[in-house]
Amino acid sequence: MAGEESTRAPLKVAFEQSGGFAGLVKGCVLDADELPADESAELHRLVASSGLDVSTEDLSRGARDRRQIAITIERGGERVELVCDDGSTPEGARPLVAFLAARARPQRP
Amino acid sequence: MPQPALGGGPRSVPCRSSIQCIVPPYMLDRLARSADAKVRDRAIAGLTRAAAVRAVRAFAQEIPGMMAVPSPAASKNRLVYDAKGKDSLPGKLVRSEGQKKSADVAVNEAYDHCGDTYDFYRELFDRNSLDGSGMTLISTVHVGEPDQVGKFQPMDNAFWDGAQMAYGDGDGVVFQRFTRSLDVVAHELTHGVQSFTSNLVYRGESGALNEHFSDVFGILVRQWKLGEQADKASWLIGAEVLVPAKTRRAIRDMENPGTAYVDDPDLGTDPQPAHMKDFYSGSADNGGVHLNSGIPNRAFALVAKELGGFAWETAGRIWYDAMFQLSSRSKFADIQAITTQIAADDKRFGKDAKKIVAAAWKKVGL
Repeated sequence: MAGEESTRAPLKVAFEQSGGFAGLVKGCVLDADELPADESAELHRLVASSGLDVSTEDLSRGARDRRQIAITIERGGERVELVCDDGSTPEGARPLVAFLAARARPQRP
Repeated sequence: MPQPALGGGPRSVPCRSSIQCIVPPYMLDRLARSADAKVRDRAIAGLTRAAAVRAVRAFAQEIPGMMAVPSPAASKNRLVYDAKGKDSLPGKLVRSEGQKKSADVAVNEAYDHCGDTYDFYRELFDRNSLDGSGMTLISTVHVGEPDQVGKFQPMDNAFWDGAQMAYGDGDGVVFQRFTRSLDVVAHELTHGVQSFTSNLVYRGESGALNEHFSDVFGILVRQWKLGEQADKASWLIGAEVLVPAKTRRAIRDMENPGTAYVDDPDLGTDPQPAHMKDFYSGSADNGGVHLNSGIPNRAFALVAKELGGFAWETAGRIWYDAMFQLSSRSKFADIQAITTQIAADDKRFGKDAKKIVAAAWKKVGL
């Protein structure tokens, strides 16, 4: 998903964070075309640098009260899903997770 | 006192320092097929290490005893570490068993609340620490997490990582230090107790029971410490962890699930169900482990209040026994059946206990 051309492709990202000690469920759905230009460019950049090319699920076993993260990236007919927690988030995806978490709002599960 | 080795040395909350964690497995798979021999060899080595990490994680679930750090005298032994706002565990050792108070209130809270929880299990259930064999109680305070530009911020959470507790200081807007609440600390430690007893799988109904037991013994440690009778006690979990506001009272309300916070601008409305008719069956939160725990939580509070007296004396003992009799895949129907069966012991719990326990489960839809 890297490259100059990819930054022009339509991009939608759905984010859900749940669990943690508080059990809160928060989320957001971002459409890059509907964001202000600087935020749209940042979302494209963070997705491109996240390394998320293939759907994957990796949750920390043995840990309790971690926050679960689910991200769905839709771009030009491609769909990639990541399910992890804050102890197993791929290093490259952590800035994207922080970007999305800052925009997430409480949701009814 | 030397710092104990925790699984081979310092660990990071997210693994940040080696190729098996920096490069995701699917990328390593691709690199392992590279035409470049050097790239291929490094990727294969990375995949091998990644497999080892996954094996350790699986091991921690299956055989938690191997993750326990023994104490020198097989007795109460607390170690408190400071992550200094970063995410590397355990961090720097700042207070050991028997040492004088620190100038850092979070360190003392973790130390004191661990001590209260140890004393609760020891005095009431003759249990020597989490594993029953004097396992060292390890806490790390001031844990942080990076934001989108990599700058560390105080973590809005507390968790059990399979071997120790980790506590954040909160954002100061919604959450405060997670060490403030005795019931939060006892909740996390009870996750450790469970890993040596029922070891309930942390997903779906068994995961909600895992959370339920942690809330039950979290609140019981608090009520025991304060000497509160069940009918006059607080059944709120994590009240001191939240920055006070009109829209929030606590993180959970065991007596009235779904009411701990309402229309809060940052938290929303407490989503916990109080009855099986509202059971959550989605995928969020590991299948609702912190959500559906509201149902058995309410049943426990009903039992404790109806039995009267101190909740740890009768209801707590029924639930403690149940923790040993459940299996890792147990569901709500299993805890209903087992607690009702245990409560039928008239000599230990009185002639009304079975009826009271059965009625409480019925009230929550089981």
